[in-house]
Amino acid sequence: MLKIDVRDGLRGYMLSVLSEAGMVAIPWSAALEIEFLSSGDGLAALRMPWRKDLSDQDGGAASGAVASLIDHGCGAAVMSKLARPVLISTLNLKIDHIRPSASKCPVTVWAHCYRLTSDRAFVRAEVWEQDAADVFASAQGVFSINRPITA
Amino acid sequence: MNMDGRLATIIASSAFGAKLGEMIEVTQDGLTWTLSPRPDLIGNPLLPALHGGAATAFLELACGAIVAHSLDREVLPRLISVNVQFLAPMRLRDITTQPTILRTGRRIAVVHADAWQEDFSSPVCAAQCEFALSA
Repeated sequence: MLKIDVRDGLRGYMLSVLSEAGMVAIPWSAALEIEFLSSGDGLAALRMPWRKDLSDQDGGAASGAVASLIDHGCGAAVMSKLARPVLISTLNLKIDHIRPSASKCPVTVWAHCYRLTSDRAFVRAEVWEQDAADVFASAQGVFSINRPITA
Repeated sequence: MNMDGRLATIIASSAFGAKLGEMIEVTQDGLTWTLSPRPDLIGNPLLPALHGGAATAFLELACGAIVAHSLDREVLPRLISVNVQFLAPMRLRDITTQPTILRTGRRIAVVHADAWQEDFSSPVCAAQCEFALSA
């Protein structure tokens, strides 16, 4: 039986949020087929495909699936701003649905960790289908930086 | 999906709602909603913890459904905004909420939902949702 060192696992998990492998490591993101596009310097971009079972009553991406994409994108943005592996958690998230999202289109989240203090990170995010200037949802959130992961 | 037929119809108006609804049970009076999360709702595999996005999706769905139910509609209302606060780590076990409609106007409904896991008096997350009621 494989024995996992929790410390190693924790570090591996936090770092893997920044890679495609991390999307598979987090079951809910894997279930939504969230794809890692890029990250660095407080910015992160992730994409979620359109799927019938992830769509809402109007046929676009369901708000609950979009909320999951945003939460993960914001977390990845915070991770990319931190110079060391640290355990973070979402304190709050406010999401505005500006218009219904288009049917049968994958959606992309772009998240920006614009401010980092010793124990909190502040993030904004936008979500669109085809055109980054035509967002259908925007969000703002605060993450708590809990404790460093030391080797 | 274990709930009143009208609520089941409302939830199934969204394919994503139907998917999440498979894990949801609602009491006969329609007031108390419980999500029994399957392992694919895990957000942090090490704890393991329920994904914040999945919890948000559950609260949005419960809030929207009780608004539609109170207005005798069969389709979920469109969400305008959700503001969610995470108060404590959420474990991979039953999470329960009793959403409260704060106001229903002609065009907007505002709903608040606290969610708890084991102890009713210590909620793990709270959400406030605004829905559009006009087409």
